[in-house]
Formats: sequence, structure tokens, C-alpha cells
Amino acid sequence: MSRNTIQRVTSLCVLLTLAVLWQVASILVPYETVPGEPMVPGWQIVATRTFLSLADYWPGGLGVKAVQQGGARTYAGAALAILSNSWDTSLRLYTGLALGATVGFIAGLAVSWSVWSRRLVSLPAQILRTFPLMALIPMFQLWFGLTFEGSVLFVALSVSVILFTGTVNAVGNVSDVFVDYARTLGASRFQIYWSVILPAIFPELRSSILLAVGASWTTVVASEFLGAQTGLGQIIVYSEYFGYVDRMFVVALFLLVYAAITYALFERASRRLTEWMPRESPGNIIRTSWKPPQAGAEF
Amino acid sequence: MAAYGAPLNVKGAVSMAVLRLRHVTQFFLRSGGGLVEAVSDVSLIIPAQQFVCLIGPSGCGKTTLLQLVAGLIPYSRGEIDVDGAEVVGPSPDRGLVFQRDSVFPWMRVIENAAYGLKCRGVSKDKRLDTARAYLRQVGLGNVERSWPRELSGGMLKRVAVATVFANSPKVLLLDEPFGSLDYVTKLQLHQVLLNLWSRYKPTVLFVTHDVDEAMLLADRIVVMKDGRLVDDRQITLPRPRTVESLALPEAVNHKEVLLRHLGLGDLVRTGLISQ
Repeated sequence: MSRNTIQRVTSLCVLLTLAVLWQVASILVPYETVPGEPMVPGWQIVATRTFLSLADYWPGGLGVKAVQQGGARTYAGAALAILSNSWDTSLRLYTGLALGATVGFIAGLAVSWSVWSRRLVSLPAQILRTFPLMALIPMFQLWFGLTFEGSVLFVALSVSVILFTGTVNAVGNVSDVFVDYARTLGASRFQIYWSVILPAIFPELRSSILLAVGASWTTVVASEFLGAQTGLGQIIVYSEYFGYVDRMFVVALFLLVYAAITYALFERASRRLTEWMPRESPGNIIRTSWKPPQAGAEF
Repeated sequence: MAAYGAPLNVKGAVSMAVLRLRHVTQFFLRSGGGLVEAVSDVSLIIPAQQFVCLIGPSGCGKTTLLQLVAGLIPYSRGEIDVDGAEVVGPSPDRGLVFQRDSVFPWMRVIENAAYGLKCRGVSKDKRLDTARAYLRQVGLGNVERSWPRELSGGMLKRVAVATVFANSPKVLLLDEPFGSLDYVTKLQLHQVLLNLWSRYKPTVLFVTHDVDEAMLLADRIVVMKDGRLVDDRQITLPRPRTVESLALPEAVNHKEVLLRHLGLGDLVRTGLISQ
């Protein structure tokens, strides 16, 4: 078996083990939040009743009647509910992510661009960075109510502080020799940023972007907890009122899948931009031990 | 070297530039307070097409002086000019080959070699042709699509030399460029450099602490100590020079004096120096 196959099979086994552990927990934990709603719902519940119950969150339309208006719980309704709520959440997320990443990145570059841009940007950004984000939630609620803009700005804020810090650090780590070399070859400041700073900081920036993606999923759901009318976070909050742990669990699974897809897309998109980098050791494992040759191997 | 025969579209007019330094002084602020004079009142005129080596013990200010000429750092006092044009910052007219690896790892070899031309707005076809021609002249015609990570240290230096020459500099500055290379690779790169120099004849200021290297390359050796120029010697050894040239009486004399300047007087036999 190739190294890749082994790695995939191993990962799959780990996932299956986690699923089995969840099932074991569902058997061992006898508590219920309200009668009929287990604290740890097993897969037999999640895969059947729970998914169907998501149809409750479909407001009606496309030939599928809303449950509140007397419609039956159908798989179509459940699928539509998941799709439309995922769409709403994703729209908030990606708008916020794009806005926050752009602002944070540009502000981060501004710190090294010139003495004046540093003076203007650095201190306010550093102050903003240390604000506890969750403490700002009530303020955002009062300022923006439950609007789309409120969610987007909240996500953007969380993303921008991460990208800002990441960019400032990454630029600080760019070797002077590259910048000086570019200068002596005749590069303008703009050319230096475009063809030296950007490619040089990208590998380091990748980890900041991944962190920011993670944070954006957290903050978009948090912003929906405040009482949004739609979105995956809103489903979780409503489920809490009624003790529907199974629904929370299903929504969390969807969030997990979406986040994984986002990571995978980003990995793929960034592969070409890091083509120049030295190849890492397989699986990025630090070599600390040295296996002696197998018995019988001849050299 | 089999790398001759550059096509005629190469912008490689033979250069005729005089580099002048007049009373150049550079202060640094010491971290504990007070000023350090890294370069003190240095005056030096390098005529067109001359190959000058600047040697001195480490910490004598020779790298600082080179950076002043490159325009990477502003000088505190004095004047530096190339053909009367004052140095007020870096310019592609004054190419610099760095001690550390400066080749951009995120560009392929040919993109590296064409980078200076790209910055100056040369069209893509033209700059790639030019870059290719210079890569061939440094013996790298076959790796133009490689990434720098796939190249050895000596090959990376060749890329840097080709990149700087592709810019047709009037003045070529080199800061201990081959210091990190092994003996054989270093000698090969001397040939590469001398070939290009004899072809395009930029005015050269080459910083080194290697006396033999200086004797093999230079028309003239300038010695720097504690920020000041303390010696200035014409090297009239016939070219092309070989390793045997270093055994000629003239070379031996120069070498003894230079080693004394570097603080290695104890290693030098006495009585041979023609003062």
C-alpha cells in the first residue's frame, strides 16, 4: 500500500472510532434534557427523526409547505431548510471573511509601507486587536440589530484582527536581502510589494488565513445566536430552547463539513502559490529517529 | 568556458563609467549612545572599466562602504557619484551581488534573471531573450525553468551574476560574493565573472577578505582598516591569470603586505617585502 493510502485508511479509522465512541456515550449517558430528548442522541436518532425534524425550519415555498402551516415533515423540506439556512450563513460568512481579510491584510501591509502609514494604522489596529471580541457582541446588537450587515461586520472584525497580526509578523520576517536586491535591480516600492513581499509572506500568511477561516465560522454562528431569523446558528439557539440536542448535533456536523470544504478549497487554491517552496518531509513529521536498515537489505 | 556567443539583441554595450567617492563618511548611532564612524573620510576614484578589490579585516567597514555606493543606506557626509550623477538611492546602474543568497526562491531561474528588466518595463519577449542570453553566458542555459531550490550554492551565485549583468550596470558592486563557496566552485565563478567583465567592462568594486581572490581578479587592490583606506596597490600581473600567477615575485610581495594589513604579519616571512 502506498503511503497515501495508509494515511487515508488511518484517518477513516479514526473518524469511525469517534463515531462509535459517540454511540457508546449515547448508551452510557441515560439523561434527557426533556422527556424524549436524550442528552447524547445516538446515531439511530440523528440519522432518522432528527434530520426530518429540520423541516420545521423551512418557511414554505417551492411547493413544500411549511410545517407551521400544517405541512408534513418531509425530507424535501428538511433538505430545503438546511440548504437555505446554510446559504444565509455562508453569505454572511464569506462576505465578512472577504471584507475582514482585505481590511486586515491592507492594514497589515500599511504598517511597513511608510512611516506615515505606520503611524496612522499601527496603534489603532493594535488597540482593536486586544478587544475581547465576545464582549463586543451586545454593542453590535444595539448598533446593527439583527441585520445582515451586523453579522458581516462582526465576522469581518474577527477576521481582520487575525489577518492584520499575521501580515505584520510575516512582513517583519521577510529577509532584508530580498528587498535590497530588488531595490538595486531597479524595483519601485509598489513592485517590491507585489513581487517580493507578497510571495515571500504568503507561506506564513497561510496559517493566519486558516485561523481566520476557523474564526469566521465561530463568529458567524455567534452572531446568529443573537436572534437572527435564519441561519445555522439560529437553528442551534432555537434547539436549545426545546432541549433538542440532536438537532444541535446535526447542525454542528454540517458546520464541520462546511469548514472542512472551505479548508480544502483554500489548500487547493494556494497550492500553485507555494509551488516554489522546498518539499516538506512526508506528512511534515519531524525526523527525530533513524530506522536502521531492515535485516537482509544489502547495500 | 563554453558560454560565449551572446546573440546581438543583448543590450550589452561596453560600459565607460567613473566611480568617485569624495570624503565619504558614515556614522552609526551606537546602541549605548554615541557615534561610531563605520566609514571615515574615504576618497577613491575608480576609472572606467577598472576592476578594484576592496579588502580589509572583518568589521573594517568595507560592506558598509559598498552599501553606501549601492545607495542602500544614505551617507552622513561627503559625495559619491557615477559619471557626475550623484548617488541618491539604489539604481540599476549600480548592480550589487550580495554575500547571502539573494535569488528570489519564488521565481523560476529565468524570471529571476529577467527581474531587473521587468522592473524597468522591458517587454516580456525581449526581457526573456536577454535573460536567457546571460544565463547561457554563466553556463545555466539548461536550468532556466528550474526553481532556485533545485540549484546548488554555486549555481545560485551564477543566477545572481546573470541577473545583475542583464541590467547592463555601469558599476558592478560585489560584497564577498563567493565567500560561502568551496574552493573549486569559487575558482569557476571567478572565470564566469571575468568573462562577463571583459565582455561588458563595467567598473567593478569587489569586496573580499580573501587575498588570493583579490590578486587573481583585480587591477588594483584597496585596503580598508577601521573605516579608512590605508593602502592602494596597482596589480600589474598579466592576464589571463592562473593559480601560478600567485607565485610570481610581484604577487608574493603584494600578498605579504596585504597579509600584514590584515593583521597576519606573524605569518609572513621577513625580508622579502620591497618597500
